[in-house]
Amino acid sequence: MSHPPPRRRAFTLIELLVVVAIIAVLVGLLLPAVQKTREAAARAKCQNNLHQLGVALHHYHDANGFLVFSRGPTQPRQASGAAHRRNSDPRGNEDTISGLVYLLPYLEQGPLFDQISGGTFMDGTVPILPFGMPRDFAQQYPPWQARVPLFECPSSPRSPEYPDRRPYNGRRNYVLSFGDRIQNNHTSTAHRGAFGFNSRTRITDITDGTSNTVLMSEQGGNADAADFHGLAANNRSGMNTNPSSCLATVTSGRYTVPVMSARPMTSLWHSGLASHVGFNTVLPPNSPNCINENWGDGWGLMSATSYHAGGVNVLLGDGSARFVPNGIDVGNSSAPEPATGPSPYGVWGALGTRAGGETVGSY
Amino acid sequence: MTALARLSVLLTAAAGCGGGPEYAPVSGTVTLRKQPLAGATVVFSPDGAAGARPATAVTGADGTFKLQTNLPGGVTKDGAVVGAYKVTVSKFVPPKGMTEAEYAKKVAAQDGTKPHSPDSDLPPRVEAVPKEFSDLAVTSVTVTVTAAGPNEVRIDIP
Repeated sequence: MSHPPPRRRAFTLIELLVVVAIIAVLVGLLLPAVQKTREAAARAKCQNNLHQLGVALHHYHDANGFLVFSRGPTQPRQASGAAHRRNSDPRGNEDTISGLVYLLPYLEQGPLFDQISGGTFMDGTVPILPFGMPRDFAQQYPPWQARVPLFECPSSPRSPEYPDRRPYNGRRNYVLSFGDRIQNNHTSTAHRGAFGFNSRTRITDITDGTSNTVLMSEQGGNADAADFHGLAANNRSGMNTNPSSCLATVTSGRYTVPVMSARPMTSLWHSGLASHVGFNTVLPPNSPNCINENWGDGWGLMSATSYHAGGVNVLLGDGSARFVPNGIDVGNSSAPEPATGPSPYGVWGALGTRAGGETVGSY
Repeated sequence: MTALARLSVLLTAAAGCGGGPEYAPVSGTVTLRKQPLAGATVVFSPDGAAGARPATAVTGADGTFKLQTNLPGGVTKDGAVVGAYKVTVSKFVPPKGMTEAEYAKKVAAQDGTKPHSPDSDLPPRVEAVPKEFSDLAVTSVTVTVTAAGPNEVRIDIP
């Protein structure tokens, strides 16, 4: 006698759908939390990098008696006394070496520094002078293609290497402070901030106090050629006479005027060109950039930018990393750039100057 | 009252109690020697008022502009904060004897694919607007933006 097969207990479709829906809700709750945690971790790393760079700057100061310049003549040129000379010699660097290069030995990048300072070969055959060659040849010159982890902030989306143009290598998300110096901040030796052309600032020159003076900031990049991060509006008027005119270049964070798209800012860590090495404390953090360009060698307004919500991390002269909100007091953004004396650009401007004589309010 | 209506009342109330500055739309026209001035930067710089922000615009082909206030972080508000402003108009053009197209060609040639040669340097651009309108220190154009409006500004530069 045959029995009917025992009825198997199974999930109904409804039960299954309910379970799937519950899982979906849980994932929906969890995923944003994971994303937030990732950004918090990235932000902590970006801040830690700044602190490490601060330690390196102080070690360099201990060894040499002064801080690195933002841009300066290399050793052979320095001996001859000529400064900031442009030339078409492909073997020299047109006095555009970045101060970050001199920090390499203090960032456990000694071998890379030795390769740069010893001179090497382009395309494996053409001898290159010590401290390398200009920006235009990064493709053929191996040291400039190196990636230095401490120069990169993981919050910034991606290296703007523009593969359709030239491989502008050397990703770099940290910049040195020009203070509120705007006009000719690529070659001026009348420094307002801690860094500038051949600046060699001593800690004792920072008379505003090291805890009241910014040394470095973050700079965010973007591969999008209209995004305000990482690119600059080109050849604008009023940059040093009325800095707020630079705000006219964007709508909702996108440039509506021509930009220097061939030269993304957050690249070329070896380059001392103003737009590749520095920032100024004039427009609030996360503002657009405006540069008077000539072969990438221009001066102007380079903003501190980041992808952290609401502000940027900065490094102070005492080696501490602080978060500066976008809403920091920037005083009168329409004031012309001062030659001497206190900064008209509020707490942000006062943090930038090394000897402006301001009292720095809270931020 | 339905729940939806209640919610919309609540949201409207919340939007009204932000306590932030009040923005009003501002538009206008710029002419230079009786011709519409295109591509000029118009800057409204706060005249004394604390907490006010500069408002800016770039003029279109017909010389008209709509003012915007750009806040940090890529946030753009239409119009300007209600208050008094000094107004400047500025436009950089290539130096004498050079057209905008010739200048753009020179810029494009600097893409970094060739070594630098001194004769390929860009000459600095020059201001096309007289100092009386382009320099904040001497400009006589002042505008008070009101909440009621209409904030229509006409700037005729001789």
